[in-house]
Amino acid sequence: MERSENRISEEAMHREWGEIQAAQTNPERFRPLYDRYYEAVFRLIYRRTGDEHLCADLCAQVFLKALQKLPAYSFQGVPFSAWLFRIAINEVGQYFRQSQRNQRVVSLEENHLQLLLDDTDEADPEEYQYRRKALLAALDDLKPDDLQLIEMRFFEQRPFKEIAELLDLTENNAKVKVHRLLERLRKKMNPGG
Amino acid sequence: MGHHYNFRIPPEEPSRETIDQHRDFDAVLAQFQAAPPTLPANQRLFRRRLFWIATSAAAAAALAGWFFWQTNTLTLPSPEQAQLMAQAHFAEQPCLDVPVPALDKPLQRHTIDAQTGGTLIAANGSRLVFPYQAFQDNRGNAIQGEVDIWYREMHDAVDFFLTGVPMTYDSAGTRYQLESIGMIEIRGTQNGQSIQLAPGKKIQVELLSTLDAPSNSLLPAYNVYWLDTVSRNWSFQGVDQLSWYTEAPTDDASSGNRSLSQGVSDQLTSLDAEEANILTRLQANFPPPIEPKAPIQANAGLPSLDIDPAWNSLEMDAETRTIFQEIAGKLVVITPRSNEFDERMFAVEWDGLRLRRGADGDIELSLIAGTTQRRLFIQPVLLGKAYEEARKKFETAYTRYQQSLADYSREFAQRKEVLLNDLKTRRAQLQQAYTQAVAQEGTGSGKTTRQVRSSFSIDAFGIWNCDRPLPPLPQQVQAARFVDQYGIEYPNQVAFLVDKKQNTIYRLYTSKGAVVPLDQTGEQIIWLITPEQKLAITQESSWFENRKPGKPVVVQVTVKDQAVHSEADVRQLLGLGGS
Repeated sequence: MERSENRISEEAMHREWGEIQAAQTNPERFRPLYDRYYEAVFRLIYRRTGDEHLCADLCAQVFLKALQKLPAYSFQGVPFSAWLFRIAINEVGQYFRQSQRNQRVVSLEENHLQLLLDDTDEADPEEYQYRRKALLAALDDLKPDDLQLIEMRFFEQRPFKEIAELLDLTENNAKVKVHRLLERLRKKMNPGG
Repeated sequence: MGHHYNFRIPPEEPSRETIDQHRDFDAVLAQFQAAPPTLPANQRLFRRRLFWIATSAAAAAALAGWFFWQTNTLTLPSPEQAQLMAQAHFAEQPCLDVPVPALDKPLQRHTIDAQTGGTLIAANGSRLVFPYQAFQDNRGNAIQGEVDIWYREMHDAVDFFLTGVPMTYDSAGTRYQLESIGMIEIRGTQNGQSIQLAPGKKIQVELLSTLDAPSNSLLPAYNVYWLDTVSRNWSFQGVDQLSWYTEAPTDDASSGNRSLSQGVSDQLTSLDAEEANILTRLQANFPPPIEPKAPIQANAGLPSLDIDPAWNSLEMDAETRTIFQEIAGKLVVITPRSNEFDERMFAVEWDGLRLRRGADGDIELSLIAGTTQRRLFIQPVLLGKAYEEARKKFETAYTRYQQSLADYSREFAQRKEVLLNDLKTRRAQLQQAYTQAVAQEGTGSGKTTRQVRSSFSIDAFGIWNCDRPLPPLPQQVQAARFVDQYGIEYPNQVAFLVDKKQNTIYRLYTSKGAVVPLDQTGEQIIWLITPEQKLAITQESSWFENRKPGKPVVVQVTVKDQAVHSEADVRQLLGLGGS
């Protein structure tokens, strides 16, 4: 669970920093970075919106903001993708805060739910459906920021280090927050115990 | 269920072809080029502004509302309102507000042996004597080998302008303009990492400056201040031991009666410095009651931090460990005092921490990684019943505090009156003597320039200033606007004012109704920096002389076409000589 397709090597990260510096002086040179990360940003937004056209609009907005903020970007030893994903997450958050019509989408596989059930309690196969319903109800009650942590850790299977980079936390802080959220979910699912 | 989120199990994934249909970099680029952002010159300034904007949001909103009203009613704000706007603006600027980064005076590198100490001799002959074993790293370990000392001096208004050093001092609720006889900035590094002076170690400084004074006049009194960049104020450190460094000129033309008024004037200025010292000492010996801090509830809109119990394994001293055990596992907020706070610090793996309890209730949290150290001020957040109880306690304590403060203010005013009574009498006598001396002397300068030596010791790196508080300039006028020869206005930016009789610089905020301090008997120059990085300077005083009493003035500046590439260019354009 500690691997992520978004991780790149130190060497690649430094090479990429050269591309970013070039783009800082000439926005046209942002093109290779756009091409490299467009699909990843699109998928990240799609998992949270479930709507192709809304996703395309938000995606364009993310890259426009990235271009606007690029002159202020400095290399902090974390992948450029983390910076882009953070802009994307903020855009999605902002969209749903302002939108009255659409519901935030949470995309997950059945086995991810199973994983979370394992993490929250010792799952009893016979009671699976009952416990699954209780878990979804408990997840539905979470605040957007809390749900996002669970989503990143269990549904997108991101390592803590990457979650920390995306949410501007320390790795330890991310671990503690997730641990506390699991405790809270466990209590909600077992109010008596 | 399903009221808040739409759970999609299993998720739908768009195909690569679908995604590619929306891929259009040229459209994004065109949108960007249609409206590129205006970004601040450097990231540090940007982050700092973010921080100050957060802490002064309420004040800014109130000011914005007020400004909107003013603009729409076409009335001029009162001087007090204009001062408030200026204060709000300057509070958002960095402590060292360098106006043209390319022209900032560089620090010169010198090398000192940390084991044996040594002497640094600056280009102008100033000397700094370093004791043996004077340095430590940011974790308190003694430093061996050679260290780099970075050093520069600031002596006159152009230096203060280029370096952006603040020239005002707040003491006991009163704001003074400072006149400096010389200033130094000193920093230390080893292998690129910053270092500190070890506790108890002091550097002896002999700073050489020049002073325009009659040859037979007494030396004026100056104080030594250290710039506290956290509180953004000068911190009084002691009295400058000032002495003549060069002999008086043998030509006696500058001596005699002509120096009498200057001598009395210096004594009057010394009296102001004495008054500031008395107030500083009074406040130090008779401190005000400490205001209790309101407990902070969760979601107070401040950045927060979980104190992770796992940090127990980090390096910490005994005092830190005691405080850590009290707050481990709790949520804390980072208070607005934390001017070193930067959200990127959450992405750093720290390997040590230090906690100290402050008198004001804040806890000082220093995070350490290698030789890097960052200091934050934190407060535990309270929840539910614990918050309610703490709130009740606070309200009782606050009522007691208000009573104590009223008693204190009365007592302070009485003590201040007793202490300043003698000064009041002396001031009246000196003012009378000054009037008589001026009448006797007629006109003429009678001054000569001599070198003086300021001797003082410093126990920390940073900016040290030998200066004295000045009485305010006698007149204040309000400016309707600042406008150049082409009719272009320069609203809401910083302008600079120098009175050639004083060795200081005034910073003004060119809002509508800006207060411009003036002395009709002096020679003054006002300038600002245009967006093209050129200087726009007041050429002559007609804008001031033609003013109608009680009416705002229009400050007329002339944009100089000459490009400004160096300090010499600035000096030449402003007509202010070398330091």
